[in-house]
Amino acid sequence: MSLWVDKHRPRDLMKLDYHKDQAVRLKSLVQQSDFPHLLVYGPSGAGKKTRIMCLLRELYGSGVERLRQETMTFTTPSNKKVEIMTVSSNYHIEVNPTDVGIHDRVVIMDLVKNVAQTHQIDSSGQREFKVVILNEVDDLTKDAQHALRRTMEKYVATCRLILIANSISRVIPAIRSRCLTIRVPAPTESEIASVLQLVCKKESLNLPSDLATRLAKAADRNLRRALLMCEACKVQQYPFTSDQKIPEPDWQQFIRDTATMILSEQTAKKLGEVRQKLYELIIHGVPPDMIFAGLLKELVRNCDMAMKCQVASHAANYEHRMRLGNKPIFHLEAFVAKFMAIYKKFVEESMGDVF
Amino acid sequence: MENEVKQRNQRNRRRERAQRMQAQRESKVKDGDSGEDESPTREKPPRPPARRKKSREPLGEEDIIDGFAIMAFRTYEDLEAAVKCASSPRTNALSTKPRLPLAALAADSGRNHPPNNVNSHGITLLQDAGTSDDSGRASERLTGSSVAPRDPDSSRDRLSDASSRCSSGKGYICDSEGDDDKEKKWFKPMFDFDDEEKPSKKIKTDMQIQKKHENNEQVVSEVSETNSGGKEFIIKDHKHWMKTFEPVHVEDLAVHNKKVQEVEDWIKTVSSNNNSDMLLMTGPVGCGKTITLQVLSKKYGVRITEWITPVDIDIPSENGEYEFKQRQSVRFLDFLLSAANFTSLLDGNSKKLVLVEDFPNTFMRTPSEFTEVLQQYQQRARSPIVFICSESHTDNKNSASNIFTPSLKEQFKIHHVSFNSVAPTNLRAALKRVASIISKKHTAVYNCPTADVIECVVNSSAGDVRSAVLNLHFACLKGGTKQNMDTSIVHGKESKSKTTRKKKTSKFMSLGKDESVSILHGVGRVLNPKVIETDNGSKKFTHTPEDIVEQFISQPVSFVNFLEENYLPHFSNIDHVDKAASALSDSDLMLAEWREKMCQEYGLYNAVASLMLSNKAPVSAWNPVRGPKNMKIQYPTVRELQLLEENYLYKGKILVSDYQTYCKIISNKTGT
Repeated sequence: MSLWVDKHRPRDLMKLDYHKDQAVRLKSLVQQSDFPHLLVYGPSGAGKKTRIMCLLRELYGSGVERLRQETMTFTTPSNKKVEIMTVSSNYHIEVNPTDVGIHDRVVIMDLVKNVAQTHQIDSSGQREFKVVILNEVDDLTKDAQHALRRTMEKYVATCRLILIANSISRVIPAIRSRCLTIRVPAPTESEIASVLQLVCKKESLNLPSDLATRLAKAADRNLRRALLMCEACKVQQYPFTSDQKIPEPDWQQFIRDTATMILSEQTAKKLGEVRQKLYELIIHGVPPDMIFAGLLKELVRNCDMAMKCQVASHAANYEHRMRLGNKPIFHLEAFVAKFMAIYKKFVEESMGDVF
Repeated sequence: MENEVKQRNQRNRRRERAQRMQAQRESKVKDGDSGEDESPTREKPPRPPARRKKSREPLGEEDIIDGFAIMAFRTYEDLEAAVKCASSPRTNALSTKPRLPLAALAADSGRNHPPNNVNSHGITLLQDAGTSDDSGRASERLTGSSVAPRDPDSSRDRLSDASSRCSSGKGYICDSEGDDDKEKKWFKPMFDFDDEEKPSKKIKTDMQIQKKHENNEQVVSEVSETNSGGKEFIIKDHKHWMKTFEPVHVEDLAVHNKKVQEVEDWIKTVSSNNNSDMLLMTGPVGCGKTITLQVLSKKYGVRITEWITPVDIDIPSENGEYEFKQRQSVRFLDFLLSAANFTSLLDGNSKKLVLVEDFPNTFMRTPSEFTEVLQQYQQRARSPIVFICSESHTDNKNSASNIFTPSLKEQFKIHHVSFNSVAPTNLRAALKRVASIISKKHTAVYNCPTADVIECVVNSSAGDVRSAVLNLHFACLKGGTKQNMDTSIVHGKESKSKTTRKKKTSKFMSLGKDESVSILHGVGRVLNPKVIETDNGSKKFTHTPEDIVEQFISQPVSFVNFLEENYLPHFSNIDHVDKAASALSDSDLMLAEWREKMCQEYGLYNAVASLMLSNKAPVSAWNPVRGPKNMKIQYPTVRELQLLEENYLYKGKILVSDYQTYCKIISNKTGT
């Protein structure tokens, strides 16, 4: 039994539930028999990958769906062996280059070279190019992105790249300009609700519209999360009631606890405890930017308007530095320390007003 | 065939040379040049290689001992016979000490090595207990490896161990204790100075020194005497500063009692049985490893045979071909085995041990060879062996102690004694002993060191006895005016803490080791900055940020990580923390820019300086320094989460942020 997210994923461009206009355009793009490199971007859970898979199916037929997993090994210039998991069909190969950290450049160059140098044996009725899908392009190192730029041009005859990113702000302009950029916006809450309804109907379940709306809200416009939540709700309690509890991701709970700690006491000792919590989040793989966003959201609830503004601006500042720096913990901690200092002053002043 | 001819030629040449030299020597003796031609006594340590006693020695023996003369013997038996008859008249004189360890020689000739490859031998020293020291070793090695310049004139020069050096396939064998035929030298050590110009003075100093030694009643390293005869007279006796003050009793050792005891126990148990027991001694440089072994083995009458790695110099043979060389490890093993299994001919003493302090570097490259050698040794040898390795925290890649892996130690049951650097108290005691010897006997050359000077030396030598004694030597030399000396002493500030006893931490500016600061010390200096008041009332840091940055500029990232991990407990006020954390965030930003070298330095400086300055209200408590956390992210694997599509590429982040929680919920419920 597979998850609803995977089970009910649309496989045809024409069967997509939203952004239908874009789907039509994509279809006509493929019918041209050739297409440029693509850079698909949009928030998590908006349906980027779904669209790409539909596109490939349109392009190559159902052969793209026969997937196999493979672990590829690359050798870095320092003679270190790095392994990376790939998923491929006869026509495409997909990889998360960021899995190998700073060695992503080697992976990209070698992989694209490998793919591009093997021509299709039987090109009759086939496209003469293969497709390489690279995930999380915005998290690639600058080095890798520059390598990518050169590689894209060189092997354009035999291979097309489809790059997936959450935001193009961290993709270097050289790559942006070489790709057709396709934005996949997050679905609106009503769109999510209707998708949920549709899925429940397919599962022959009855979903109250109130609950659908609540799920859509709770999922933060992330369709994947909404579907997972819905399924979890179903497992926890069925038949659905419109006021049933919606399980939330555990890391959100964790961040909320951390925020409470920060608000409870503003001392260096407390900061030490907060740091341990942050470490735990980071080590478990929660992306630091999500930690930042979660913390800020929780913290500003307790601030007045002037302070909100101040805190948000500091958060933006530290988040920016975090993107440029190496160690997220430095910046998270600096932000927490800054907030503690501001908040302590604020509390002391308001206490002074009272007396 | 060709080879044989060559051999014969060489042999003939050598024989001729020996004859020539002997003739010269004889003529000299006839001239009554007694001042030149003595051989040192065998008893006690005639400091200056005993010119005095030479007349007692029969010439005949010298010839036999002469390395090249030995080559003239065809068989080992011949040699043995000759040695016996030559030495018999002198047995009384020699009885106390082993004379000429010929073990290696014996082994060689027994195995019929071609005697002609003069160039390729390992230079090995068979030393008597308690005789080796670094200077001695060095000069021996030098003289040994330079294929002696042998002009006839040099026969008059004192010759160190050359007499007993033999050119067998294996190596030179130097009898350090020597029959000290210093005078019979037919070649002149390249690095010794000739001092013939002032013979009268020479003799005088000799006498003085001799007297001193008699007072001392101690044998002080005969090796160095033998080798360094030449220099002795030029710089008088301070050349032997190190030697003169080397510990002679177990109590004199600056090493911690327990360690001495441990080694002593080992030697005691091991010297009796003929097993190939192994001992490994490690410790920082100058902590007294070697001397401990020497003193103890002397106490128990164990003879030490030490391996010295030969200097590999390719010298072509007459045809311009390079001679075949044995592999280093093979040579090493051969030496060890012969040293371990054959007793010296002239030495009835069967207690012996093999010392390896100088590891052939082939073992650093291929540790497996070393394992093989040890295996062979364990099976075939019948003497204990001692390995001595210095360890330093700076380069741990190439150090010999790395070849002794725990598994190796286990496999061969190697007993490991690890020394620490000498504690200040012990060092002080040792220096005081040196000072007392100075005040008794060397007042002519040295100012008697005051307690202050000793204290300075102790402070600046960082637990290294050898460098401490050298420093003391320099500090006490007469000649420099007192004032000069004072200026070179840097008086540290009075230490503030009330609890510690030490009031002053003065150091020699010009002496002492360069301070090397470990990363933990550096962290301490940044997080607990010490402020001193200068004369004009302003305050300044004891260790300025610039100094600290300089120390750690080679590893800015790891140092900043350490600081980040440890700074919090030192802060009490959140505003100060805010400043510090913000600065660390800036530093991380700068350190991330690896393309610009200056950024590294700026980042480090920014972190160090702001951490030192921002903490206005430090917490004084003991905070252990922790290492930075390993931030390797462990994403859940697809297999851990059930229900996922098999052939679908999930992103780690998304697995964590979306799937993880819900997959657990869903699979739990459906499972039950």
